[in-house]
Amino acid sequence: MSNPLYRKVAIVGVGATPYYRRGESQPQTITELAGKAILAAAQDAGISVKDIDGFAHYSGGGSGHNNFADTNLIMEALGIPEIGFTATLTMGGGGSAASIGLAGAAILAGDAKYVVSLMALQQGNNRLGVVLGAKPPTPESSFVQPAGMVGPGHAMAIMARRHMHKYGTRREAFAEIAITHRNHAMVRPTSLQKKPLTLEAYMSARMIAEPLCLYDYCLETDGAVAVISTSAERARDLRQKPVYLLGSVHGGRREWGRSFSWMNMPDDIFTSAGNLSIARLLYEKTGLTPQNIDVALLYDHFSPLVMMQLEDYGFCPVGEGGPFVESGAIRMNGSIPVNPHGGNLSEGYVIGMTHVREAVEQLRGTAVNQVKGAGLALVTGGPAPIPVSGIILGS
Amino acid sequence: MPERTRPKPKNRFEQAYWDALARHQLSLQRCKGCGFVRHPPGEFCPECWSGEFEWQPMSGVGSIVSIIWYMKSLDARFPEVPYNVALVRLAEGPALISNVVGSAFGELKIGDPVRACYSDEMDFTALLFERGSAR
Repeated sequence: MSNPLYRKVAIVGVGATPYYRRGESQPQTITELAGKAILAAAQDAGISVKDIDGFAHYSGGGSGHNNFADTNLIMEALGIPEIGFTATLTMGGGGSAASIGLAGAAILAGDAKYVVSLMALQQGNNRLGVVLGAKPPTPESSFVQPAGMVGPGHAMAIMARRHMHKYGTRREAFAEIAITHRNHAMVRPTSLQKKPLTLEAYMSARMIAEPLCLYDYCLETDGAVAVISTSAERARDLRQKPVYLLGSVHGGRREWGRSFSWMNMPDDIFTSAGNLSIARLLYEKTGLTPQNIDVALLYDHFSPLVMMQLEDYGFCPVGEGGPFVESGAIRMNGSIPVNPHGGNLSEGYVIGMTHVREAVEQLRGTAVNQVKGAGLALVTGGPAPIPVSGIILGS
Repeated sequence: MPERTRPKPKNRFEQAYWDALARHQLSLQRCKGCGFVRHPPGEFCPECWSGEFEWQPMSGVGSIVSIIWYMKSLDARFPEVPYNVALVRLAEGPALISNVVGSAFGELKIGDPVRACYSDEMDFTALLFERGSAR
């Protein structure tokens, strides 16, 4: 186990705005949402915003539509005097979890003391669900756009269909994922979806990209979540019980990087969530196994990808994700409780940062749906083109 | 299937690919160094890093690797539903994203043989597939 980060960095503050349905955060600005989340995170940590001296972004610093609060504007808005680090992981939501690892790298290098990882999202008319079709064509996308594949969730549906064909995976498995998330969200005040979801309602819901229906797709949300990390040493003197970073991995296999475009991957990668290499490295770095994980915060933009991540991270053998999920394994009383906050599917979608927030609450012991005695949490970034990412946090 | 509405491609150096489609011929980039056939076109051969290539005509024959059906239009350029998007693997190896036209919802399954067909749009020719084996 070679991992200089191991327990050297901790999350000490988390803050968020309310979650809004797409467009309903107006007339607040994106900087206003970001600022509110950062102020709340600083208060949670018991530090002044003026102590913040680093930013570790992901998703190119924004939501894929160039509508974002860049570091300089946040510094202006909040009066942050000077920083020693600002960087962003490339591509999209796949880097969400590893934005904590990026913060950790800055802290370990001595570049910054209090580093913010952040997502502020306002979709308005820029729906992420159809971003592939809406983007101006590039030479690469020109081999996909003329076919009318307009959204990431439709590319993932093509993979889900193949998984069903190859392993006999049933829609009942996707339904179980959607219903479990809804059950978790129903009791959480922050959730946007609190109405019960039944199997009958799932099965009769309208198809979006058959075989996936309305409930297989995440919510379209506005909102912001900010997370503050610092050194383990400084964390001990702050207000909250530290949540330690045990390991962080981002990257992925070359062939996975085509997942939202022309695909053409080898079949084992095609029917995965692209996290096999991430999982292997993360377990190597931390000396842990899937059996050690108490709660999994898996990026749930599309329900089948939760199942495929369970396979990638070794909670069940590859190909057996369907029956595993259908057995009730991801419920609160199952062998691996998944997304007790209700996730992107039912609580709200802020490109993965709600999962980091929930991991922190679980490890502090303050979660609404608390996994009893949770000591280790896995958080993943979205199965999206490279990077994909995963971190393990511990109390 | 809508006509003359598909998004126009952006060209870099692969004009020959689109020119071949306009002649209703599918050609892919083949490395002159090692013979590797790649798609989409790229600057280098990822196997031997040669920048030398030629355009190799393909049989146009393949099979469906996976397929989805849009039941609701999410893009004004594709108003008619249901329409499908499929990953088709060519006999020569590479797989491409396209549509399998001429079959109704429910009539297509993974493994079905398909062959290339073409849709002349306003500014370019799109590569499509239809159910069936080599002509």
